[in-house]
Amino acid sequence: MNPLNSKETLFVRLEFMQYFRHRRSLHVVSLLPLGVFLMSWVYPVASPYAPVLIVLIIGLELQFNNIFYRTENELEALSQFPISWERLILAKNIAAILLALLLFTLLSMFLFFFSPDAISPGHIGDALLYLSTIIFPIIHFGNEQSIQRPRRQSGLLLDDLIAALWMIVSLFLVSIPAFIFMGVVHLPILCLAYSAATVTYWLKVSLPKTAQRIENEYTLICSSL
Amino acid sequence: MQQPLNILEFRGIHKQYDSGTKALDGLDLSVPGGSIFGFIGLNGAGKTTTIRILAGLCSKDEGEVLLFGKLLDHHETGHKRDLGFVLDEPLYFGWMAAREYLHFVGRMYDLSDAQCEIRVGELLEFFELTIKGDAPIDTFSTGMKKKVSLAAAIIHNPKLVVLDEPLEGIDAVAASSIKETLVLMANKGTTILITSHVLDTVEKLCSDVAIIHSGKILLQSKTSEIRTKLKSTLTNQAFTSLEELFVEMVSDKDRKKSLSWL
Repeated sequence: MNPLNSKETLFVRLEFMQYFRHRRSLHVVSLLPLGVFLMSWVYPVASPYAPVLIVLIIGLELQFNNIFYRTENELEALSQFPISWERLILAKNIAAILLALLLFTLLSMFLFFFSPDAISPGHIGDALLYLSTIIFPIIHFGNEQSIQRPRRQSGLLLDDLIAALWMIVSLFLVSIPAFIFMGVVHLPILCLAYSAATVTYWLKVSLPKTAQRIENEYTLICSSL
Repeated sequence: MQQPLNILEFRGIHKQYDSGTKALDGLDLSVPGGSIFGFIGLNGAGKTTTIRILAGLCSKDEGEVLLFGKLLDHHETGHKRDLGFVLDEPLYFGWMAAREYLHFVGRMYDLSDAQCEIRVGELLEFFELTIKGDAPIDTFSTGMKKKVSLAAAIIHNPKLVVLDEPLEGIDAVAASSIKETLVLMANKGTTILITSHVLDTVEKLCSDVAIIHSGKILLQSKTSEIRTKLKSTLTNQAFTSLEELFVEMVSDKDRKKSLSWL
């Protein structure tokens, strides 16, 4: 897989601009009270990073699960440009990963202020290992969702609530390998091997498969909405 | 390389929607290179479906489309470099400012930053959008949005520009400028396919015209030949205008055309 060219890099920039100019960037802000509550709870679950990741993944739900219709007619508009679907999805997915990393850092800085415990470097390392195991499966599920259940209108609608709940279920499911590697067999290094496998799957299977589905089902997607 | 005689051809296109509506019924249409081609028909005649098939926004059931002499394959992206569209649905990102959107479109079509700067500036000035150039497109009026769409469709100087009702919602001064631009582009070799309900405009602007009715082409001719060659079946006189010809061809003569209270 070639690195992004200048046109594709422009798409990554476009995704960032679109996110920060749209009111859906406030979804993360609206979830902050939940993050503060979970962080300051006297019975913390799993890791102090759990609240950060819950706020992050739910707050970015649209970035993962509705990549072609964050604005009305986005898919139709994108279809006019001379760029292949596979490269376009790659650019969109990379933008989502970079955005997740940026918000992960910002949310950590904010939410740890409310943590009753001190955060050790070990916590940070575990959180990054965990994140590396879940991000590409979430991207893959998101690509599938974007084609199966595209939402031309999105924001704070019932469909968005259902999608957010589905995101929590997905988060639980994709966390199972990390839980086994870190909590059961106590071999965190396996997280890296698993993470490498998920990257390979994303590049070799998820991207071409999603692109192929768009090519085959494009008119159906456009006309069904 | 020499351009094919017909830059765009639809051959035996059939399209039936899931609702059962037959939109196209064996459509055959040839668009000569370098022409301004008027594609006219009543509402629901099949114009927009034809254009959506070309844009890849709608699938066909049967038939083939040849673009620049090659079978159109929407899995390929190369042909998109030479196409520009203004459709009835917006193909822009409304949250972007007009200036940055046009710049983005230019970059997508492989123009350099410097080329984009020049062309975007000229386009904004030409369409009298300079003052609102840094405002989000979503805040524009319908006519201004149409101008942005048109600017985006021509920024890369495509070989074929497809315009679905491009003058609808645009003021008379801008419409006049757009018509002049289309003539200029055609003179430079660009082919323009245009649908319009304003038959007077089509007659004055277009070198070729096709009339579509119930998903079939009823007539395709040079505009200049319509008056001289075709004669009315009612009067056996040559038609005096495209409108007269159009009305005779597509109107239902048996339909009652009166109102009980008038």
